[in-house]
Amino acid sequence: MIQSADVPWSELHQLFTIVMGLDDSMEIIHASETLIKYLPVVQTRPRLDDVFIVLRPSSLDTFEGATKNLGSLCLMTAKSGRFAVRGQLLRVRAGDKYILCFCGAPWLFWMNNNCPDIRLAINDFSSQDVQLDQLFFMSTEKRMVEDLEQVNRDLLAAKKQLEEAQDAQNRFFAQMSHEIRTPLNGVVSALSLLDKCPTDCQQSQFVRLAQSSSHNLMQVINYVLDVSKLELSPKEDTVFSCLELACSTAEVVKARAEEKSLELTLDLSAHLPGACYGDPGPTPADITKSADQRYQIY
Amino acid sequence: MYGLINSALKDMISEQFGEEQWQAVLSASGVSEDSFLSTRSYDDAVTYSLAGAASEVLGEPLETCLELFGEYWVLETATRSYDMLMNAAGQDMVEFLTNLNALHDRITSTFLNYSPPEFHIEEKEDHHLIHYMSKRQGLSPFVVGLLKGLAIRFECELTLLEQTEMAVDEGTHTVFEVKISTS
Repeated sequence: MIQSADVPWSELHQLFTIVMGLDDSMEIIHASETLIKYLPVVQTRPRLDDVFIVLRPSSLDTFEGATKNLGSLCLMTAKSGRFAVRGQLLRVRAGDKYILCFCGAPWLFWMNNNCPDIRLAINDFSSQDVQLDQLFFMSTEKRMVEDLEQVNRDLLAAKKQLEEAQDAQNRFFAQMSHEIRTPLNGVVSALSLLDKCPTDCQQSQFVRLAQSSSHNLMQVINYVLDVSKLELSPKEDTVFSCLELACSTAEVVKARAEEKSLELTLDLSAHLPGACYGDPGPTPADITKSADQRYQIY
Repeated sequence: MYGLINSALKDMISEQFGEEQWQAVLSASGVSEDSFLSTRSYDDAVTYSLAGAASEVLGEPLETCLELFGEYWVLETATRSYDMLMNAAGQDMVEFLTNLNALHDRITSTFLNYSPPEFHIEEKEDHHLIHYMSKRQGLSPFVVGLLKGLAIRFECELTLLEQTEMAVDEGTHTVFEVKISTS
């Protein structure tokens, strides 16, 4: 190692792993062990600009230029493209003149990006140098982002699973309610007819009780159908038959009409298309409800 | 402990024994969280509960589970997330163990309130003494796993000759007498 009297090299080496002495002609007159390990050419007293490309600050060509940038961060890459340093310049008295001391460390971020095959060691950085701490922090942050992305994926999957379960449940209720309503219409019709038959007082009481209960049950089923319909995913446009929709609705309200001694007439236009495209709603339940409201007007 | 430890434990059980086993461990532990954020500090009790539940569910002694986890920590978690730092810490097992405290010093500056263990390695004539000192208790088997993982990482042969628990007022001081030979 090149020595120069009057400069506290050993103290500087304790604080910085890359230490470089520059005389007034910008020749490298001193280099620390770490610098020599990665850039042996510095032992031959080359000029700074023979070995390094200075990225920051813009002017380090001359001693005078460099002394104007003592407070600046210095970023330099080796001309070989295999090493880079970051640090700061100090002006130090050496005997009867001044020299410049570059104090710093390997430029870790640049090295990792440009020379990942060169494995810098933990001892290539002094304890107070925060670059390894930053690397640790960045690695942890990267992992943290991965954690959050995983949590997000888990939440989305759980949401999808819940929605599918809810849809399945609603479809089941809708189907079940629909299946129950058909025989229940038969029960309502039969009770209506039975009410017209000659019965004694107690039998009439039982029939009215049965009629009342069946109406209540019908309301409950219609309510379940409405809720299921609301909670199901929005329907997509599809091809459906208007004729089938009208007939199935008429079938549903037929018994209620008979019960009230009303004649139900299904009057379909001759221009009714065979198939339609769009949202098949309102559903039979909506039309049934609408029809029920009309009966109440009568 | 930081969430990184808990999530590594979760990863190990899920990867090596299946997601169902992890769910069983989580359920047996009584820990309510299924996801752990690496940089969030969790109560040590969470980690101990998970480790205890893993032992119960997997039907293995706690020491075996901790040892397995120590090995996984070095070979999977640390390598996956901190390989560059692992490389910087050493090119062989002895160098790595010598620099481990310096590595922990740096982690302490990022993970505030981090309470790392201390390691000291002594070179003897034909073996090494590794001193492990921690404020925590019961994690010596985890260190055995770490050492075994490091031996695999650095392609050397590790023989644990003796393990001695030293008397301390608080925490743990374990001395591992090991033989490290290059394969």
